[in-house]
Amino acid sequence: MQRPCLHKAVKAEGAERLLAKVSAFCLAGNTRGGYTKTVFTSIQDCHAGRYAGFMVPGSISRREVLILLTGAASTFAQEPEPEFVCPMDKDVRSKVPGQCPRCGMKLVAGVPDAREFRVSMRRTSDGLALRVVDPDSGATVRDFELMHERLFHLFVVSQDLAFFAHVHPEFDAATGEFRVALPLSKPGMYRILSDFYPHGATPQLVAGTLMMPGAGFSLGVARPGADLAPKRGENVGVELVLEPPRPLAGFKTMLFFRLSPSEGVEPYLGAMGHMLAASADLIDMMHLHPIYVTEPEGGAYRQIQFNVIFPREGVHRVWVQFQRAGVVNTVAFNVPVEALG
Amino acid sequence: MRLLLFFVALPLFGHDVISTKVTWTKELSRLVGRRCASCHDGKASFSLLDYESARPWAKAIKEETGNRRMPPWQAIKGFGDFKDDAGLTQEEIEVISDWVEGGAPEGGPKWLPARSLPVRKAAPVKVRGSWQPGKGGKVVAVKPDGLKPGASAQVVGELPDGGIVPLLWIYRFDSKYLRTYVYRTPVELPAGTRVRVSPADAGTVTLFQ
Repeated sequence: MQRPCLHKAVKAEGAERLLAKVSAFCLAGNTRGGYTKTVFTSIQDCHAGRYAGFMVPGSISRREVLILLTGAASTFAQEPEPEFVCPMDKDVRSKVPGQCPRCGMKLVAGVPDAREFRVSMRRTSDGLALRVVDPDSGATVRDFELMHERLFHLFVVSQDLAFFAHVHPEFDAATGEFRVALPLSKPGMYRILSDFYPHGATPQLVAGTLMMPGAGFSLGVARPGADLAPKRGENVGVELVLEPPRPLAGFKTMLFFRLSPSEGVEPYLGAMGHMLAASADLIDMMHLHPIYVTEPEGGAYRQIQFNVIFPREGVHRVWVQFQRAGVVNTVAFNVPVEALG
Repeated sequence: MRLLLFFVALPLFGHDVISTKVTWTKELSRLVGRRCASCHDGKASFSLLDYESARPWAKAIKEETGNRRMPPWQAIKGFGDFKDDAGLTQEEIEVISDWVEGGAPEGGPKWLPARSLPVRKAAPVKVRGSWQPGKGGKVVAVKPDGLKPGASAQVVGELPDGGIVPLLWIYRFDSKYLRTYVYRTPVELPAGTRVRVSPADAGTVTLFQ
């Protein structure tokens, strides 16, 4: 008698397909609670050769069927409904399609493959022109998803951390470029963060560097001190509370921004706030959105919480933007981050 | 509920409570396959190929990637455009730290990539010789062979017409991982271009044509 045939069956048909057949069988007529019965009757069926999935050469031992069915059962038990994930906020997941509660983006099914797109950039008479290039074909990308109400978000920061811009270049269909006017006059290095979402890919955050030549050009790393003092925007005051009070590199820091007056604080570009957190040397640049918005202490202020894991020690410049009564407020703090131990 | 989670997690990994939705089978397996597996294959270096091998290294992975010591590409992204750029994106660094800080969960097996992606080998470097500022021409590659250990340096080309071209930004140079960086598109540096390293005492680099 031909003996163990599970291996052969797996080899001939592929374990995945075999298991899928068993899963389908379990699914067809049985509920989750009926596993014992399912397995038992399945074994009987298999021995009798009634189930096509087990029509394997020779006979199959009871033990082998049990192993296979147990595997199938566990596969079935773990088989969740399709899971949807926010392409930007990876920790936001849902069993049903919809939109990310944090950033408003459309959730996508499964695990999207990450590909790193490139941005080629040139200076124009009054600003910048940017072209998105497909990493595989080298072609100019022309099809983008809306992200926070725009096709392209551009962050520009000067090496001395004095200049900050969050602007939205306009797509020029004739050339395939995004163009934006930018008042860059001071010579030096500017770091550029391009935030866009090519159709059929994943959202991209691409770092770049722009050099502004001119008298007095020199390179150097800013060394700002800590600055956690309350700030005054256009029409709102912003106070920052950190938890832990002394942030540690590599560990979660909660940043609570307390906005007063609290009334009239509204979404800006599809989120209750936007943050760019940059290490002082402009090597790390993170674009983040709020986790929670609350009104503690009877609405004395609006509290907008961001969670950040600063990767390295050192002072980080944190720009935040909040909209109140139609006016965008941009304020910045310098957050010192320490190394553990 | 928190207490329950604690006890569920206890037999698996000491005290870690799972507080992230980022998992090994979904995000990390793909990221590690893409960025780390060419060395961490269990032969050239310790394996990070599967959850059992990688999980004990979770804290170290977070620290090494966050501090940009691993993968040892050393060049900062977006300062010169190089072939086979092996540096992590900011988002990848964030995904790793989210996973580790969230308890480094494995996730369901069904999400594992169907097959491991072929490891991309870096293209061989073909150069004709070192680039000479007097002659000028196209630069195809740069090697930070004269940088001081531990130096962080920005290298730019100052063109005769006043333009400034970013060439290479090395963060905390480690000569153990010295390599030649090949430009995706050769960089035109006309005769008279001055190559400047900042800070000036960080050392030197060699440009190849």
